[in-house]
Amino acid sequence: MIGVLLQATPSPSPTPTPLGANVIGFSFLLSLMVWGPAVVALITALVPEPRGVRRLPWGLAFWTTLGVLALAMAGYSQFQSFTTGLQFEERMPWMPRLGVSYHLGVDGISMALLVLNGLVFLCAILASWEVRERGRQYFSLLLFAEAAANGVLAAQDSFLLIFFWTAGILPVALLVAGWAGARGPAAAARLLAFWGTGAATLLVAVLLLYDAAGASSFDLGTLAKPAASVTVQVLVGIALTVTAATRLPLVPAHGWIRDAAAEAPAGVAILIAGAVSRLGGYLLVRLLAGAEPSGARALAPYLGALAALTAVYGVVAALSTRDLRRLAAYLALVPGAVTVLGVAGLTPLSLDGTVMLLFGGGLAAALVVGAAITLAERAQARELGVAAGLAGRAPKLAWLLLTGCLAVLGMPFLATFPGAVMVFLGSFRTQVWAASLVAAGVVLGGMAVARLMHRVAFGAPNPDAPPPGDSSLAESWCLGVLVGALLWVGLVPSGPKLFGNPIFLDQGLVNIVNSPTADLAAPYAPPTPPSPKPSPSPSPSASPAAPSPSPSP
Amino acid sequence: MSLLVLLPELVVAAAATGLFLAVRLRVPRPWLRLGAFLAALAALGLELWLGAAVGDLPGSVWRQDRFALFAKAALLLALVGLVAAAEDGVDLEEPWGRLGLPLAFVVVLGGMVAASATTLVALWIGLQAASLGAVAAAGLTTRDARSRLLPVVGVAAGLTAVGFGGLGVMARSVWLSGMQSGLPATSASLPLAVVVLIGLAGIAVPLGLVPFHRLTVEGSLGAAPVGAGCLGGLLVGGTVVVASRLLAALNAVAATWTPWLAILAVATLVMAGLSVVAARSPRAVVSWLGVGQAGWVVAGLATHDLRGSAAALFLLGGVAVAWASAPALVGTVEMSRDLARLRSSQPGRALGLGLVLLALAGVPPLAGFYGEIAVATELIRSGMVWVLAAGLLGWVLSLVGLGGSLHAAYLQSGPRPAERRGRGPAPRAWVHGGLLVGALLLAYGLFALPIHDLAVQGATALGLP
Repeated sequence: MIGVLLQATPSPSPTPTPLGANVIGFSFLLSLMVWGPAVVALITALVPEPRGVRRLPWGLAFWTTLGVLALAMAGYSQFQSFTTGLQFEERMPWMPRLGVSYHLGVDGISMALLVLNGLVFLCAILASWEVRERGRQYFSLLLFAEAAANGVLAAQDSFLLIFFWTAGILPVALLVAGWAGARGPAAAARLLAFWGTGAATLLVAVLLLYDAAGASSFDLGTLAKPAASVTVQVLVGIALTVTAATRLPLVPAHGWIRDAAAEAPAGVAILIAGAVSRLGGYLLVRLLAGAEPSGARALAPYLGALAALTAVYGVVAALSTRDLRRLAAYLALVPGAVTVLGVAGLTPLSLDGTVMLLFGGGLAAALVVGAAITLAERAQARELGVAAGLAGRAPKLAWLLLTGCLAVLGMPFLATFPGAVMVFLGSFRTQVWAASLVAAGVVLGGMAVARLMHRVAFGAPNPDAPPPGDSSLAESWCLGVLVGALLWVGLVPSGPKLFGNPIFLDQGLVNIVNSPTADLAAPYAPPTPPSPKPSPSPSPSASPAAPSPSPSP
Repeated sequence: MSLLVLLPELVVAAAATGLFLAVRLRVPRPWLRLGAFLAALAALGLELWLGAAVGDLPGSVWRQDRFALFAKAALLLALVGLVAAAEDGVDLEEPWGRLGLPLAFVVVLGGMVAASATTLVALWIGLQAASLGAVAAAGLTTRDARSRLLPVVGVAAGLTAVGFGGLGVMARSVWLSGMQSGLPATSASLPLAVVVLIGLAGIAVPLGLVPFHRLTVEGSLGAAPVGAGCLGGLLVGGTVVVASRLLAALNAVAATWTPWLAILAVATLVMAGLSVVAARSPRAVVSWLGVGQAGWVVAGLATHDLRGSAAALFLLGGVAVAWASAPALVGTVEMSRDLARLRSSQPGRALGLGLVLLALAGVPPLAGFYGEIAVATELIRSGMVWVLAAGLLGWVLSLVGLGGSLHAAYLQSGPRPAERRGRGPAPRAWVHGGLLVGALLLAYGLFALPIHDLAVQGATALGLP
């Protein structure tokens, strides 16, 4: 495993084109992934449900999301590893006088996260099998959220980035408002306030960059060149940090997560914890670490402090709460904190780990939240004392919850492990205190997990509680897909190989994210020591210190 | 330049007269609506076709330039939206309410006059025609509304008369081009600033800027739906046209009015956002969202340069369409939760209303978003960061407020469509003009390239640097 990790450090060495590359040629793959769900969402919202056809909205959403995942996998499998440029690029002018263009494209980082989005949204749809009330609205909002999340990752024009970032807010808020019970509207209002603030600060950051770059283009390629002064870079960094803090979330901008993730139905909580919130980390990697090196260096200690605060707070809150769903929501903060620690570390290794952890952390957070909600629903109780000893009656759910908890903590053989190890190895050198505190948080997290599993799963059952059922087929599939992805990436982060050739169309996540991360981390790479100049061999007479040849006896 | 360029205005005037007569002759309601819609569409088509010819009529009393083309097209598009949305409005049920449609044409005619104005007098006449038309349309339902609105519009007319008169005296010219040369940068002084302030206060009333929002907000709350649309989108659109022409003429002495405008914009943006959060009725939500958009437009004008004004014009197009049609789509629904009934019986109208509300709140991918970003871009370029901060605060607050309204309207369980005796539930009315409005607001962003281009040409025609 360690060998794999060491291999994963940026090393832009060319490899042969992977199997499957260029098998499928799409010139509009990304547009299809972005606008496909949006169009189906519109159709789902508009077309009345025909009589006698049950679960039509669910079916539409499921097949659409599956299609998007298939497209993401196709793109992933034919992605050219070890190249730094954009791939699957689409560009056309939109508002040329403002410098706005419809520019989509992905590098390895975006590509990996598009696959994450596909997986998490598919799980969210599967977890929503039970949603029958206002199904058309529910699934159309869910598909709109998927379109927006994919758009954020594919956008290569900052206008488009803001467009999709903002477009994703209302669907998620309305999902929380409409399907999160009595507390839903209040939770949605909080979510709107936080995410709206984040969108506003993102706009400020982009506009500052736009102005600094000559107010002629919104293209990220132009804005990402660190041409701005240090002051502007720091201001941009602060604005981006606020944006990311509201999404990931980081303490103290976490006010929405408790209610949104703990009150929402499983499908909504899964997409929030697994996909939508990861976009905050993506933004930090892409726009702060990748584009504003001076700003990132200046803000690194504060980012580290935020990461430490979030990790410790999340774990302490998880230890002190008696509510199963909230406990899971607090635990889901931990991967985000480790992700931000990687950005604060500002070393090639920590940044590589951050990107890996965005992927693995998303899966882990989605799994732990989804499993906890499902378990609480099955037990018809959320109190730790009431929902107790469930492993006997609901073994699948108990083990899924345990896997999610272990993934959150970054256990070996799970997808979070490589990323977490790289983050800690990379950032201990530059952010000693922050890394130590986050590590302490993770250790405390182990205690929280032990308490959770002891009380809820493996302790004495509550004789007064109604007997819970195990997960349904849809729930098993939903959470099983997440576990499968966690194990797959954890076991073969550089892709399964047979005689050195990649198989199953998987080149390996590490290989996909390697080169763009190396490119992005180039300003933070330690200076290579100058190679010693070959000096002429000293003559004995010119070097008085040299021992004189002693006469042979 | 051919007199043919006046054909759109002629169509609008003829349509207003014809509709007045049709109301008088008790023409059936569907024909009245159809006639109004076709007339508005014809005027828009003619404007886009003939309005591209640039030039002055003999005597330079009438100017057709790219600004006039953009402004008139925006107003006519808003009129099309209003007429389409008013399809099933209750206005048309009542004899007085039917006069709302001809009066909407009068409001647009006033705006068109202002768009082609070359003198202060023509600007004033255009503004007053639009204001009186809107107040008449809004005050038709109750005497109380008339008695409240008329004094306000009278005071506004007086303020603009004093302000415009003072400007004419100080510039020694009533021609807008003469003002540009008669008021060089060196003439910026306190008396000039006071005169400009008076004029701007008069303009701020029909524009709905805080603290002069009584006419736009309170007036539209008690008004008939079409009347509220006239007070909102159409009158505000016409007033922005007046303000753009006037401020372009005063650009050399921008120091005298930029601070006022910026302060008004900040107050409007913040207050509108707070009010959207506090609003409980959909009509109030619409009014305050619209006022917030007016704040963005004014913020764009306050940058007093080509790019800022172009952004403001670009935003205006979408705002005018959305704000003009929104009250008609809301109809007589009193509380947001009552919109659930609308969703159940008229899903097409409910969907249109949802899109309009999102556009007014600046949510992508609808028209308001593009305009707001364009204005925000120019604000940061001009260094007006505090105005931008107020705008973003207002935007976030609007989003929060709108979230509550949308939840109440679209996500709470509504009653089933009324059961008809022995024939099952009543059919749902999917086809509605609101869908057309929603499509217009979606298309505005998708076709931003030519529209924004035309807005830039419009601002260039104003002679802005």
